[in-house]
Amino acid sequence: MATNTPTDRHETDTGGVTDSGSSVWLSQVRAFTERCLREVMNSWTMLLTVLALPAGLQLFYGVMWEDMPATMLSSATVGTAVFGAMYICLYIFGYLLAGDLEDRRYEAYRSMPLSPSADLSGRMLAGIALAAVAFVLTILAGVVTGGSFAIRGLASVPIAVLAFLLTCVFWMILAVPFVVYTENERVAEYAVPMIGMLGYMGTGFNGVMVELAPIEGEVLNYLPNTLPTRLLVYHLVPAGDWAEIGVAPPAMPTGPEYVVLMVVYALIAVAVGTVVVNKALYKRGWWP
Amino acid sequence: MAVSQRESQGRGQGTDRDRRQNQTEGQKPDREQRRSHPCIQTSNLEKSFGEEGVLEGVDLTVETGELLAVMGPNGVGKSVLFSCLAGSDHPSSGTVEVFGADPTTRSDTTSFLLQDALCVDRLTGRENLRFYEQLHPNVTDDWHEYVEILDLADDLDKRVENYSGGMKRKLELTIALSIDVPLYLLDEPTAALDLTMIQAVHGLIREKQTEGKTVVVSSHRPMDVEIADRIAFVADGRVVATGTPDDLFDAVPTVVETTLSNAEALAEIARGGEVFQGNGGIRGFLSTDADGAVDLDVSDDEYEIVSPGYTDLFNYYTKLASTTDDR
Repeated sequence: MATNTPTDRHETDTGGVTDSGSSVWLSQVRAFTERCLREVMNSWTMLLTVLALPAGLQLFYGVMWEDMPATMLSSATVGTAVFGAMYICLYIFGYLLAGDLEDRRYEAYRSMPLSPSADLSGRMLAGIALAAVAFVLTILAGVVTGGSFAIRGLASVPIAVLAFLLTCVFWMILAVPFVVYTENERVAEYAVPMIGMLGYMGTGFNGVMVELAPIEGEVLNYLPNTLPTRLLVYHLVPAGDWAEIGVAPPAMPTGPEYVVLMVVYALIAVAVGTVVVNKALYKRGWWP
Repeated sequence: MAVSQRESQGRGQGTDRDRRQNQTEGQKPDREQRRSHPCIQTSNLEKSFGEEGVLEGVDLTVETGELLAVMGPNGVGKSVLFSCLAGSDHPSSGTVEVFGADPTTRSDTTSFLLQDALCVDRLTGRENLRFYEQLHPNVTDDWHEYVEILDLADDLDKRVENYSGGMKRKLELTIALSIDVPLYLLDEPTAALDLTMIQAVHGLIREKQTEGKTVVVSSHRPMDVEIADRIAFVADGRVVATGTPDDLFDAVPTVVETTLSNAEALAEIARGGEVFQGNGGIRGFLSTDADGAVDLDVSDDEYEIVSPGYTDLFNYYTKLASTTDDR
């Protein structure tokens, strides 16, 4: 109901006539998620870039490495699938956010009763959804080219899901400071995804081909891109001798401390992301 | 024609807007009554970006229910002023109060139309509307009517990147006006619109005011000033004059128009030594002596004293009044 004075308006709001805070928050999350997904769906170029790139890369590798043992190909597939997720998270999250900044849309957002956490969550949900599709497509490409996958046990399902989600969260948040600093759509489109590319190539396909990695040893079990990848390989690839398929040494990160470490990475990323979004984009306090 | 179209559609659809209109008609709040307290109050508002000062001590009061037109040359800081009023930007110093609160801490009272900033180019018009519908808790279904009035309904399924500048403006206006709040800050609402559409937008703005809303618009167009209760002129980062159009016109000195060949002679006696392009000639603002005589060194048939128009008003207050004490 419209009213004539702001005092009435405020009383109306606080009186609960309008939507409750949580439903408004959920609606705003949905708004950002839907909008990001629609933007990608409306552009064939963007859709192909984010969804077909990792799967296409895996098909290419599969043809190139046709004599490779199935489990070795599988671990390489997981490495490529995680790269795909990283790339999409950096590209989609960074590119769309940069567009909003460049077009001064945050000036409008700041004048609205928007929740920065709803903004961040909505964008992240869209990124995760697209990354999940790309991840599955890449695994399917691995199967088509001769790879084999199997879960190690019941616990593998939540651990694999967690590893995937935390990978997405970490890399999406990583894009935020770059985008906020540059405020440039082109930088976000081309330069930010290169971070993922460098991480992938510089760690031996995310730590699944250790011989190709310039860095070696235990550190591959601690980096934010190699740790979840190696966890996913352990839980999704039915191999016994990890050294034989080129994933070890170091030994696979099988203990619960590695899962805890991943959660810590994600929590730090979310905390940093929340602060940056609140302070730099919404010009509010350090914390919601 | 636009009004009758609106009326017929409004009756048929039973939107939020109809309910508000019915309510308003029942109450008919007296305009003077509504203006019992200020909606916006700024005091010595300053805003700078690095070393560059954009706003340098803006004092402005806008009464509740008022329609204020903010006018000024390009680049004087009108958009920055609007951003500070909307709570989008923090002032560097000074205070801004909107309905008694700092607008950066309370954002449920204002709808802010920025230039070319609301719409997402990769989405269609309809998808943009849906986005803001989900995003803002105060968005009403009035947009259905506004897109008809602004002749945008048939283009809603096209992507905004394929819109013309005017179509984008209409979509942004639709979004901004569909938000039910007591204050509308509209930065150049009629930019890139044709004359028919400008009239339609004026109709919508007047409707908002009738509902008791406060509207502040920035513009360069004399047409937009015609609907305003008061005008505020901005120059050199300050509000240099405010008042009703009548009061402001009354304070404008004598305007003399002559031919281009007499421009130098006019400049010699014109206030501030400045002359301006007029309708087919050159115009300047003069001080008249007690008899109303003009001390211009050209023959009597080569000049005439003319009634000031909105362009003269704009030139006087933004280019001369800020450098002299004549306000």
